[in-house]
Amino acid sequence: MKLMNTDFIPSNYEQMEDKELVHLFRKKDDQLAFRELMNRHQSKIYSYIFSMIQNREIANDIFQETFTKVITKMDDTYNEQGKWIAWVMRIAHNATIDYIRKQKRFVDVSSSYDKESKTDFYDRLPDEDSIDQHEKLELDESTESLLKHISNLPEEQRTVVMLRHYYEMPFKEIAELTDVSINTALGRMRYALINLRKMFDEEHEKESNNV
Amino acid sequence: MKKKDHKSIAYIFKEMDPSEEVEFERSLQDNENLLIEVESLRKVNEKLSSLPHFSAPPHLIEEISSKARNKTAKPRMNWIKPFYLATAAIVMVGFTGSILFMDSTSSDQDSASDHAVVGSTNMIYSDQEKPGALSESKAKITPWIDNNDILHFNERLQNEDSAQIDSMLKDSYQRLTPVTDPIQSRMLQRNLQLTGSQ
Repeated sequence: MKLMNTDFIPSNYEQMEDKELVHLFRKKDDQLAFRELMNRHQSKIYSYIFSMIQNREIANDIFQETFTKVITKMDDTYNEQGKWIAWVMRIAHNATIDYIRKQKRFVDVSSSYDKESKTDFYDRLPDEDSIDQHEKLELDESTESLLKHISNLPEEQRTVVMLRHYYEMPFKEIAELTDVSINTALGRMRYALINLRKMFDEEHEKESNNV
Repeated sequence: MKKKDHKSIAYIFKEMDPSEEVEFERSLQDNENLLIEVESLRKVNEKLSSLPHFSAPPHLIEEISSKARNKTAKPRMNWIKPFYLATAAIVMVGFTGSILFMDSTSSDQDSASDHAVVGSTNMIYSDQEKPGALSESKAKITPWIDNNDILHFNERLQNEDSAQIDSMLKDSYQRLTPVTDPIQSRMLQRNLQLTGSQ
């Protein structure tokens, strides 16, 4: 998926490898090179973040945070020997997981009864209808249910599914990124597929009962 | 989890060595349950392929691009690097110089103390002899070893200071005490043998 460009990117940039573009941006401050890198990879990165968080606004924030780090840290921490996209992906993944874990902590802390507002955790939950309205995306029914099922997967399994789907990342790299063994990464993928199969079966059963 | 469970995922996602793949396909033919499992997982995975790709909003891309522009627009201050390098070099040279200076000072002191030691050693053998005189007398000394492997310096004994050395030896002999308890002396001997270098 390409972006609408305000700058015209010459065709020779499109033929360049990531490595060359990164080099041009770092050493010659070439803005077109950075633009081309964004064109190539923004969709993968944004899709990963959005499918993990499933909230546009937060996904936007994390995406921006990721690229701010990319711009400011590229000179210091990125080693041109490695794949640029893998490095960016690690930043995006860490930012996403950080957010998810913070949310979990927030839910744990705020789940108790609040004397001042006389509400408990369930009262403080946002209205789902308002979220749906806000997050409304133009998706077909099956895609929507697929996204819903994926959001119900445990975080570790969801991460493996998304990294594999959006980045076509080898399991070895997924294992490295998530700090687990390759067998654990493979196992997580297997459990994710089994869980999704169960969810699809249940959904199918409900639909057939309704009919 | 069994190894075969991992293998089914590696097989579906084509992350197997060709030889492993052939072996796994053989086991699929033999094991109907495994075949059903692999096929059902494959179907679920195919459903995942319909997951949409989302694009970041254009205004966000613009914002990020302008951040990248701002970053490069800032003066890079390339002069800072050589400045830091020059400062580091000066500090390094100064540090090395001071270490060398301190080292030479301490070695001078060491050599002075060495002379003192030599001097004091000489004092033992030849009371008034100066270090320079020692080197002169070196040529005259012809040491010899007797049957008991004792080193002798004949010349030194024939020297005019021999009387003084004799008196020193006499003094030291007088300090020796006769052995009254042979058992204790034997123990001492043993101790000496135990701790000796031979």
